[in-house]
Order: sequence, then C-alpha cells, then structure tokens
Amino acid sequence: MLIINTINNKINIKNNRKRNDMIFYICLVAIPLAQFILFYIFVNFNSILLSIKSYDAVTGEYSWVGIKNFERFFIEFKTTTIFKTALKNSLVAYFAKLLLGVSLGLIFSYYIFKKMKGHNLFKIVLFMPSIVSSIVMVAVYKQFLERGIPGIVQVIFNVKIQGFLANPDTLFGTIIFYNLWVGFGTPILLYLGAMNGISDSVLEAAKIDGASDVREFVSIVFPCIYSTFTVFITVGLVLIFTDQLQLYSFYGADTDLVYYTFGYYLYRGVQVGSVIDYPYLATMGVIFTLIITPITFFVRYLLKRFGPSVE
Amino acid sequence: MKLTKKIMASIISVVLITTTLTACGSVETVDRTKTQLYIGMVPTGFGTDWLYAAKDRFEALNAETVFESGKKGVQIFIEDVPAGSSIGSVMSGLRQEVIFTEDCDYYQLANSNLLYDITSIVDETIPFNNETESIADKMYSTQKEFYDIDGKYYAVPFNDVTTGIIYNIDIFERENLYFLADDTSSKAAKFTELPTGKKSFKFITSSTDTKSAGPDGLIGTNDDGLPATYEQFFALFDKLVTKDIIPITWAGQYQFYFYRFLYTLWANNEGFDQMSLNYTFDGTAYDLINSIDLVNGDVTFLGGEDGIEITDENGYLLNKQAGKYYALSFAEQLIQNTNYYDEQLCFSPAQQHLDAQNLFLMGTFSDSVDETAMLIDGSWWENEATFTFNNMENRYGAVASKNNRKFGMLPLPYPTDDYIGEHQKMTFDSNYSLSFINGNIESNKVAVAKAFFQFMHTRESFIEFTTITSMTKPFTYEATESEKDAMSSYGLSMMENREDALSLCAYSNNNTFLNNRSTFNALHTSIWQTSDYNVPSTAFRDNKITAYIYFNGLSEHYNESFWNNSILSNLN
Repeated sequence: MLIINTINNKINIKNNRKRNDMIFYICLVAIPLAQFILFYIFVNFNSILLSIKSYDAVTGEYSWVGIKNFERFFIEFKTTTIFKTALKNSLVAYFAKLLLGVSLGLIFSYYIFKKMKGHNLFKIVLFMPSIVSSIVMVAVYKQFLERGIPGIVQVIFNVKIQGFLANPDTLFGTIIFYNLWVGFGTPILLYLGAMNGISDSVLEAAKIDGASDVREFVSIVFPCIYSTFTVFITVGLVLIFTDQLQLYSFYGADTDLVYYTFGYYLYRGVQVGSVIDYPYLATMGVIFTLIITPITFFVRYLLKRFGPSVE
Repeated sequence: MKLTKKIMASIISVVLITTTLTACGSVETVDRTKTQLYIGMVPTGFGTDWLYAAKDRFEALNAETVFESGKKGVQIFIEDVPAGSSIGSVMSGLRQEVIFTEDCDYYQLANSNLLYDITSIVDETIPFNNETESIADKMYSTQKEFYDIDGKYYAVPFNDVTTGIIYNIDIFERENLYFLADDTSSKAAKFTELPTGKKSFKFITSSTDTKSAGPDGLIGTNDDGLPATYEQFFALFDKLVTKDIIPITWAGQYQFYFYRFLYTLWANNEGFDQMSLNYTFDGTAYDLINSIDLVNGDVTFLGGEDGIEITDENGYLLNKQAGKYYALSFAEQLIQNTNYYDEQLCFSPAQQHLDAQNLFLMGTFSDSVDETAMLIDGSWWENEATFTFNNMENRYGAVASKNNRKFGMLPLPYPTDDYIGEHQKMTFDSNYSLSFINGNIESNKVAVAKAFFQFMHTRESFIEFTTITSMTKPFTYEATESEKDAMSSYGLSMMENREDALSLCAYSNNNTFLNNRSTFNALHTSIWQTSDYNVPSTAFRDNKITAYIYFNGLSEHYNESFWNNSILSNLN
C-alpha cells in the first residue's frame, strides 16, 4: 500500500511538474504568439483584403472592387514614369548593397574577427549607426557633408564646393553610401557570431598548413558561416520593394521624383496619405509579394545548390 | 581609472537627477476641487502661448462655475497631440478633450465616429463677452458647406496658413527700395525704356516721394511702392544685388517652403473663383492655356472668352491654368539666377527653417552674416523665430527686439500689369487644420469642453491669437485701432490682409476631391507632379528646364487617361 501511495505521489508530482511546465510554456509563448497573430497574420491578411477594396471618403465605408486596384497599378506602371524610376532606383540600391554591402560586411567582419590593427575603431564606426537613433545619425551626416566637408575644403584649398547632398550629381551616391554604412551593424554582428563559432583547432590546423589569411577566409571561414550568409542574401531580396533608403529621414515627403524607390513610395504614401490611400498601397504590397516570393525561393535554391560545402 | 569612472558616473547621475527634477517642477498638479479639462495642441511654429493666455482667462472667468457636481472652477492642461493621418489611429485613446491639430482628413475622422457632435455650439450665439454671433456666423460659406455633414458639425478650422515672402521693412526704408509712382498712370511704377527694350524702373530717393500703387493698384494703401509685377519684382532683386544685399533665402532642407509659396503665387494669379475650381470641379475656367508663343509671350486660352466648363470628368484640365504657368515662370526666373540667393544654403539639407530665419534676422546686425532682404517661410515664422529675436535683443539691445523691428508679408506681384488690382485679397485655409471635441469625451466633461470651445471662438480670443502669434484665424473678424497698436509690425500686416479678404479653402465636399484628398492636397508635391519632376525648385536648378517644359509636364502627367484610371476610379 505504501509502495502504491509512493508511486501515486511520484506520478502526481510528475503530472504537476508537467502541468506547471505547460503553464510556464504557455505564459512564455503567449505574448509572442499573440503578437505574431495580431501584427503578422492579421495585418497581412487585412492587407490582402484591402487590396480588393476601396474606401469611400463620403460615407466612410469600404466596398469590394475586385481587381480594380491591380489594374490601376499596372496601367500606372505602364503609362507613368514614377514606377519605372522607382524600379530602377530600387534595383540600383539593392545591387549596390548586395555587391558592396555584403562583400564589405564579410571583409570587415573577418578583419574584426582576426583582431587586425584598428579593429576596435572599426567596431565603433560600424556599430555606432545601429545604436544611435537614425534621425540623429542623418542629422549628423547631413551637417558633416553639407557644412563640415565644404568648410574644410574652403579652409585648406580656398575653393568653394557644394555639399554632397546639395549637389544633384553626388546626391544619390551619397544616400547609397549612407545606407551601406548604417547597414553594416547587424550583418557584422551575426557574421562575427558565426565566425566565433568556428573551432580553434580548424583554424590552427590551417595556420600550421601555411594557409594565408585569404585562403583561410575562402576555404574555412566563409564555408563555415555560409548558412548565415544565405540568410542575409535571401531575406535581403525583399528590400528591393521595401527599402526606402532613409529618404524620408533626409527629405521627409518632398524627395525628388528621380530618387524615389518603391519602399519610399509606400512609406511616404502611408505617412502623408489617409485611409483612402491604403487600399492602393496594400495592392502594391500584394503585387510585390507575388513577385518576390518565387524569386526568393529560387535564390535560396541556387544558394543551397551551388554554395561551398563545410566538408 | 576607477576614480575617474566613479567621478564620471557621479556627474552623469547628478545631471540626470537634476534634469528629471527640473521637468517635474514644471508640471502643474491636479486640483481635485476643480474640473480638469485637457487640451491637445499639435506642436507647431506658432507655439502654445496663445493657448496658455486663453487658459488663464478661461480659468479666471470660470473660477466660481460648477461644471461637475462637487467641483468648482476649471483647471486646464495643455498637451501635445499628433497631426496628419496619425491622429486618426490614436484618437480614441487620447485623453485630450478639446483638440487643435493640422493636416487632418475631417471626413475620415467624422465617419469613424472619432469627433463629438458640436452642432449646437457652432450654431448658437456664443455666450461670452456679449457676442452677437455664433461660430457658424463667423465661418465662410465654403467652410460651412464642407464642415456640415448631413446637418451636423463635428469640427471647424482653426488657423489660416500662408507660405509667402516675408520682407524686412527696415531694409526697404533704409535703402529706399520702393518704386516711384508714375505720374501718367495710377497703377504703374515709373520707368524708362532702355535701348535693349528692358525697363529701368525708378525707385524713390526719399521717404517723401510718392510711391507706386503696388499690387492692389490703389495709392494710399499699405502695399504702396512694393513690386506689382514680376518684372518689377526682379528689378527690385537686381537693385538689391547691386547693394550687396542677398535678395532672398529659404530653408534648403525643406523645399516645401518654396513650392507652397508657389501655390500661394498661383492662387494669387488665379483669384478666388478660378482657384476654387481646383477643389470644387464645378464652374467655368477662363484661363486654361491652349498655346503659348514663346517668342512674344502671347497666350491663347481653351474655349476662348467663354472658357471651359469644369466638371469631375475633365478636372485634369485645371493643370493648364495660366496662373500655374506664371507661378512656374516666376520660379524659373528666380532659381536660374544664382545672384538672387545663396545656392549653397537654399538647396542644402543642412540649412533648416530656423537657420534661414537666423540668417534673415541676423544680417542687419551681425558683420559676419550677409544681409538678406526677404525670406520664404510660413506665416508662423515670427513666433517660431522668437528664440532668435530674444537672443538678438540680449546681444544687440532693444533695437533688435521683435517689437522694434519691422517685417511684413509681401503682397505678391502679378505676372503682368493687367492683373493689378483685379483680384480681391485672399487668406488661405489650406492647412487642413481642425479644432474639435474628442469623440471619447466623458459625459461629465462635455459642458466644460463646449464652453471652452465657444470661448476660443470669441472675437477677443481671435484678437489675442493674432496679437500673440501674428497669425490669423480663418473666420470673419476685425481688430480695432488700439488692438492693432498692440500687434507687431508683421502681425499688423497679417491682420490688415485678413480684413475684407476672402478665405480660400483648399478643400470642398466634392466627391472627387474627398476621394483623392492626398492628390489635391495643397501641402503636398502631388499638385506639382509631372512625369519627371515633382519639386519645382530642384527641377529648375538641377535640370535647367524652362517653366514651359514643367508646365506641359503637368498636363502630360495629369492627362485624361490618368484622370480616369487613377482619380475617377477611386469614386465608388
């Protein structure tokens, strides 16, 4: 009897522990789950619904309009230049970030990982934009380019030059450069994390074999962090249609048409528009999703298929 | 090292505690024996001093009034609220009961039941200061049509906003920059014709000389001697350049100051009725350009003298309005002559609006700052520049104070002599400003909120608003001579422009307008959008295009196909 009671008690204790674990687990995931449902599933589902609706400002009611918003987008894409300009700028910005941002991100990460000369300075310069508010960074950047550099040039060379943002010839490049700079923080942090996970013995073996830093990076480090790299490449694709290049921080709603990106168009539309404009903006979001989703899967397939092997 | 860290940590702690306590000290504590009323005001250039002045008067007036049982008197708290579309998403959670904000979609807020029905207090005679009018009586007919939704009012506008040219009257008087009257014509300024065919205008040489009639075409008014036409305006600029005075400046960071000024110029050219067509899409347009002879400037109009009937279906034709073309030609002439402004500053994102105001104000007193005669800015600029005025007063004495310096809003010139004196003065209700009672107000606060709302619409409150901010309200009211004496020189120019003026409302209850509000919004670039450009100032500078190209681009973008596909398709 005593044994049975002891067994029952043990089972009860085990059950209680399981129940408590379950309560703990539910408490732990409830908030993120609710957030995911509310701010991801609901928002995106609502976006899809909005894309087939129209808002009447007079009555304040929505009505179903079928594919009218989609038709409007494709006609505007065909007949106006704004979307063509936005597409061009979005692609230029994306490929600039892809080619320069990704490669420099890897190089800087490796430089810091190897603790080469001045690596602490690199850390500060590259991480600072991720810590400081973007509005403050933009303000500092603007002052430096528009007052600082022209002032220095005038003092040293007695030549008056235009600020890089005031000069239309250098403006877009300057914006891209800013985005590259402020975009290094997160990738470097993750690349460094992945690099630090590489076994010391592997690196030491390479060193004993006489591998140069370049060889070490190409043959050991890059294959080891390749999974992190593929995440950035795959996730980064969505930036083609969402990256506003911080143009709103630089110019508010008054950016020149020639510098528009799709991301800026959407961001600005939400900022200066009202409920009336949301269905059309939602339609654009849906269209962009339909375009980018297969591309993302295809790129992920290519990266998996042709990427370096850790073996 | 440890000691240094300790010292640093101590200093930072002291600074943080001091600033926190300082902030706490400025907060008024809630007095439970009184009724609390929370006022929301959007942070703007014209500040909140006017609201605090009204708060003091209202609290004193109602010191013995019982608005809630068990409480006597009122305690008002003034807090920030957002502007623009964002207010709609947070309104129901705001505790502010009476709200003043800008750039709002009135119909959206009303349709979402976010606004309290204020019909009764808009329609009844205001029960303060022996007022004989209701708020509705003080509103313009266009406003009443717009704000009346199915017989009910949910909000009224609360400020006039103009973006124009502010000129330094002290410089004008010192340098005799006023045009000399022509003996042979009541409207014209005196000039001699140069062999090149260009006019050489004559300026007064002493304050006793008779000034030309100015843009209103009337001698003896406050615009006498000021440029009446674009030709005179740029002759004045040339004169300023010869005197080593920079003619004009504006905020390089925000090109919207420039294109909103162009909007004012466009409206000034069109006059009230023609400009209103851009919002009502109902009426006859008489100045839609059919063709322009670029050699001699001759213009032919669509529909000839009979004009063209504008409806919802052909509203895109309004992009051919001559006033818009002339405003663009003015911009082209200004931008493409870099002697008229400092290109380094006026197109640099590093020159913000406050920097431009500093330059404008400091030039007359500081040796290190070039003197600038005019500033493109919003009508709220003077209050916004209070900090600079105060600093200058401390540095240069009373002579540099706000009250001792003379500025005015420049009455805008016209494209040609033919326009002089033809249009009635206008003020601009183009900021989509609203004052209203929050729809979530608790029932025990309704009485005090309604009383305060009406109190803010008394003539006394309007005059106080204008005296403090130098801005005007979008209602009919006038100031007495003694009240005008209390205004700054700039405020007086604003008040005198308000009197007898028509209020141009950049809105209407037209279905096409309401369903495409962001396209027709007077504050946005969309009204200047062509296929290739949307910001006139940078388009003229960066691409060296002509006003003619820009103007044609407007019609190419807003063509019939675009109108049908993107504007009319929004109508349900």
